[in-house]
Amino acid sequence: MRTLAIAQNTFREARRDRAQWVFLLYAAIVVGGGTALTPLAMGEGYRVTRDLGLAAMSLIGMMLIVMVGSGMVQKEIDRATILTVLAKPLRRGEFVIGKYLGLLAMVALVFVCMTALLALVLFGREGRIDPAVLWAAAFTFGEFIILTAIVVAFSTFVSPILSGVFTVSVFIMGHFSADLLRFAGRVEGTLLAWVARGAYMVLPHMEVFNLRAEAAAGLLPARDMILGSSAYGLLYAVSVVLVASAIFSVREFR
Amino acid sequence: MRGALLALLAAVLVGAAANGLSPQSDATLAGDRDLIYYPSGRFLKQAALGYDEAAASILWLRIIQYYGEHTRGDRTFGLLYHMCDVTTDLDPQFEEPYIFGSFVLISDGRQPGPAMDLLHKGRRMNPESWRLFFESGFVEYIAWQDTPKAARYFTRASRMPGAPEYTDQFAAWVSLRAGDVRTSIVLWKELAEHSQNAVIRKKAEQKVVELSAKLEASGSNTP
Repeated sequence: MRTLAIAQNTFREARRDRAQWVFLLYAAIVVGGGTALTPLAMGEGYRVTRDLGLAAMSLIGMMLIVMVGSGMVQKEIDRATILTVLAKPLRRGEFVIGKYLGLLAMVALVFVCMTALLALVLFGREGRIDPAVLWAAAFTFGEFIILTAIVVAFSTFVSPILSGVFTVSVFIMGHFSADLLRFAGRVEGTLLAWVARGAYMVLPHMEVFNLRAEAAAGLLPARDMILGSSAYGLLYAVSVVLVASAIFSVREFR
Repeated sequence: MRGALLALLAAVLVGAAANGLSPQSDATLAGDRDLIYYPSGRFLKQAALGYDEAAASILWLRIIQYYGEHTRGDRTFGLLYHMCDVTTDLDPQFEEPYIFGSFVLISDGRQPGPAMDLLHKGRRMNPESWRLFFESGFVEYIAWQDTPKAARYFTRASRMPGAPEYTDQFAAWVSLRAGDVRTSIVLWKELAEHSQNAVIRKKAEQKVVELSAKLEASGSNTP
């Protein structure tokens, strides 16, 4: 219940920051960009709109998470509201989980709007909605679940700027995580192989949530892939939030 | 309020001046310069961070732009093969760069070798695509006059999922009427009627008119 109150407050605060306005940026890309580029695409307007729409969804979602999430905890510390909050019967872990859920709710709201808009635009163009596109969009939300946890974790112990930089870095490295495993295979038996494997275990596997190629080919994900990716995303996010709670619980405020 | 308007006006003027002075606005410097340094598809695939399809779509728009610029300009297409190659490295299932690229390389660029290389890559990456096999048959017949090979490609195209009936007819036509202008007209007509690409349709229509005139001049009837 206390966690829910923090989450509600965080959600309201994010809306006060006009975070939902990034949706307009997405609308400009999908509707404006799609309409302007279609005549130039030589019969490939649907494809261009779909690919740009899915890519922009992922990138704008990442931007939103970094923009709103990176200064979230620091703001409470600067305003000294953290002292008031923690003076109440509330565990620090509950505070972190509440922050995470509140931000995720905000991201989910924007995500739903972005998906609905993309589906509407594509439906207007082709007269049908390709389920593969919806699945690709749904998988993108898996990225958001993890990134939100990461930004909340960083925001508990570093400055907003560093938190943003670190989150974007993890996002980029997360897309290369499979390469680390390949690299480890090439330098087998060396210290580097261990380091690469360790980094692979720690970094999020962002490519697990990349179904954009399947969307382009009209392929639907297999049941095992849906279950595996969902379980991975949830467990990874839970472990990051637990680490964030542990860090936050030992932090001192003056 | 007046101050803000003046500041806005000044900003527009300074911005326009900056644009005017920018070396990029010089048409001689723009154009293909950025394309000369086009990285390999393998590098771009890494740099695309999983947004390969979006990057391929953007490169596709750049291909169209390049084609337009050079059609109005020097009518050489020296970088077209590389651009199509990079785009299809990013998204090997994107069929249009193979088809459009090979078509332009044959019809405008007079580069049948690279056109066939592009189609070979397309067939390797999309072994179930009748469009790529059909286009290969077309290029073999039009550019190389290799009738048996063209017939083989048309036959393979006709056996693939989604292939229209006329693909099977082409296999017979090119075998029976090798080197016949009428067969070429039928092939170009098919492209003019069925291609989704406006450039290909327009070119094919021109070719039908051109070949029909040639046929009439030689005293035969059009098919």
